[in-house]
Amino acid sequence: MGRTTPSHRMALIREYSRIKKLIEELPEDEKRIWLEILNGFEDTMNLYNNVVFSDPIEPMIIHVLRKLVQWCREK
Amino acid sequence: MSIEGYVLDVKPARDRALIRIIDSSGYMHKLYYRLKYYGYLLPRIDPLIILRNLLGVEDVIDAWIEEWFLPPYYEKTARIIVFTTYSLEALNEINHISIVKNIAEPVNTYPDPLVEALWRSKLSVSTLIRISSYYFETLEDPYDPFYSEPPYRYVYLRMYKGNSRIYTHVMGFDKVVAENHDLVVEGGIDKIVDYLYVMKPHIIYMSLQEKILLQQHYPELFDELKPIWIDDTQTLINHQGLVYWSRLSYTPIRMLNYTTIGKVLTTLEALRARKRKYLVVKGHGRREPWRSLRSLIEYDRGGAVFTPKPGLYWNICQIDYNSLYPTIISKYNISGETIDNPYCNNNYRPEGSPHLICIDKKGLVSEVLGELVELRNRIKEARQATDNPEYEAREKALKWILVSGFGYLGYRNSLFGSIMAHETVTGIARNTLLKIKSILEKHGYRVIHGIIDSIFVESCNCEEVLKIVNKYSLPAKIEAEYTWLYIPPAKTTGLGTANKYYGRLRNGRLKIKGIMAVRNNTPPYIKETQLKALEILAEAKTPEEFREKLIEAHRVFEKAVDDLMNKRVEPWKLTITINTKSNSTRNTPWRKAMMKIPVITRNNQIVYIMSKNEEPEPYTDNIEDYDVEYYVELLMRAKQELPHI
Repeated sequence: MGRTTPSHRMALIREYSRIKKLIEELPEDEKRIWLEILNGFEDTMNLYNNVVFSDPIEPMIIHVLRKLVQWCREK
Repeated sequence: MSIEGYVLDVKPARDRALIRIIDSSGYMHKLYYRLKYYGYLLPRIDPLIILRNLLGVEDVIDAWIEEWFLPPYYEKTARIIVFTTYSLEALNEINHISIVKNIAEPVNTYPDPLVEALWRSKLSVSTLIRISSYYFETLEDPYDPFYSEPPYRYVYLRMYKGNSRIYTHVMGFDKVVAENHDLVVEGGIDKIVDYLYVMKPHIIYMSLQEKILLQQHYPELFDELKPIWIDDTQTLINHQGLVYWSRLSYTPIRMLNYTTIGKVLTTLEALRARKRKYLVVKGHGRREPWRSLRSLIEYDRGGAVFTPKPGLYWNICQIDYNSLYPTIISKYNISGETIDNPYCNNNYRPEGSPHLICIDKKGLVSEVLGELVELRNRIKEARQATDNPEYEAREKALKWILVSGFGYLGYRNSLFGSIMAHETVTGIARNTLLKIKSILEKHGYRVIHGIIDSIFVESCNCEEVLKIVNKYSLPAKIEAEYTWLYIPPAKTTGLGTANKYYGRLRNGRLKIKGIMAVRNNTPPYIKETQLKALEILAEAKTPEEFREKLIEAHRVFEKAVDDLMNKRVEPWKLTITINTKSNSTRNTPWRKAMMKIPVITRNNQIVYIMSKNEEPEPYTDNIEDYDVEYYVELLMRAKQELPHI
């Protein structure tokens, strides 16, 4: 494992940390919403245990879309 | 005259082998016995010419031609010249001449010819035998896990400076401890050496640095007592486990010093290969076919590892698969030669597997590991029924072999594995874990975490959960039943970490993984403090009690910080022990500390302390002051692994 590529989980965690750093720079009200969006990212990460991605941004996008669908349903 | 006892060691001595046998009273007998060594040559010229020449060599007993199966798929055969001799020197000489003259390639050079000679003669080491110079009789089955321990006298020798075991031979020591299963002797070196002369151990376990120190003080000791020396810092298992490894693999204990677990397994596999006439050609790796980057990303992966949501969970069952990888290898017939075999008539692709598996015949790795899994299950049952510590040691010895069974499958120089076989195992394992997660969720359970062969399920009834797992998946067991389980958030991301968790078991004890309290490089003081806090938390059986105990646990850290600030902590409790990697060039604190000790005294461990000038210093008794801020920060990090109030 990992002869040629870092593990998917590690790649995702790196991407998550990067985005989180970006969010820290946002104005407070925007930051609050984004942190709420990122909440539960573990769940989306776990979906990728048996599905591969070429770019770690893909699970991030899927996660944001999942959150939006969830919010729409709630409303 | 014949002797009944256990073979402790075998050493080639010209055309005989010197065998050291320990009888039931612990007395050592020595006798010379004729062992027949086997040599194998893959001819590059007419085999009959080599055969004629070999038969003319004085030391060669016999030589003949046999058909052997060639790697990687063991479908094609080749003509091999097999010869026998009583002299290991002659065997090595013939192999050497064959290479120099380029007339043949020595093959089946693994395992060691001595091990093969013992195996072919059925002379198992550490097994009860009756032997004379002319015949022997094995009185036990070496594979039977329920044997009585050989009466070897062994001792673990440890040298301490203060409370730490010495890590370099120029460090000096102030206390030596000798111990084995039934005694502990402690004192100065003279007292311990006197004890050694009385005890006359057959095996001494100590680190290389300790051995050097002992020999500096008593240079003649090893020559006089002639014990077998094993570096216990490089051995994963204890004496009983090592004895079991030697029995299973026909390898004298002496040869197991510094051996890797993979070597024990490869020996077992190579001996099975001999039986099947599968040729062992060293360096013959199974090459991967050309593949796309996409397929690498898709298949070149480990087991399923979930990222858990951090937090406190109540009533958790941890269900573990029994030897998951070895079970998969055995059940699905996974071996280097059975994966994507182009000569195969009957292929199949189990769910999750990226490759085709051949079921025309039993795979070699699959067969060997299947038997070891079976053995482990038998010992495990006996251990659970009797609580015998010897069974526990044997079970652990088998566990390590099984662990290496999977790792070696994908190792590039693996004799019997292949990277494709490795990928097949991880593919099936990922599928197994994800499938059972989905089944459990369909049954209404909440799965909070999963890691390779282990799944954490919220339930008060673990038996029910286990029933479902066993019904729909591979054999599993209840590994732990938690009253509560806490998964701390990672410092940088706030996400849960797969292998960091702790919880209170139903019996009141704690199970701790990955946090500072159980990490080797945590200073003893930080460990102690965190453990003290966790023990307070372990008293909580309900959420209400937990809230109360949490406040108490946090107070432990406040007190610890206070003690640090007021310098009430002994410096040795703040030492950091690191197992170093010699090829590392990163400017880590341990490396900085290591640079401060002479090159000759460096080894694979360093113990250092953060001194008051904020520099890592190799730990010596002279250090009395330390960097308080650094250690307060470490304490705070340990505190953060507790739930917040």
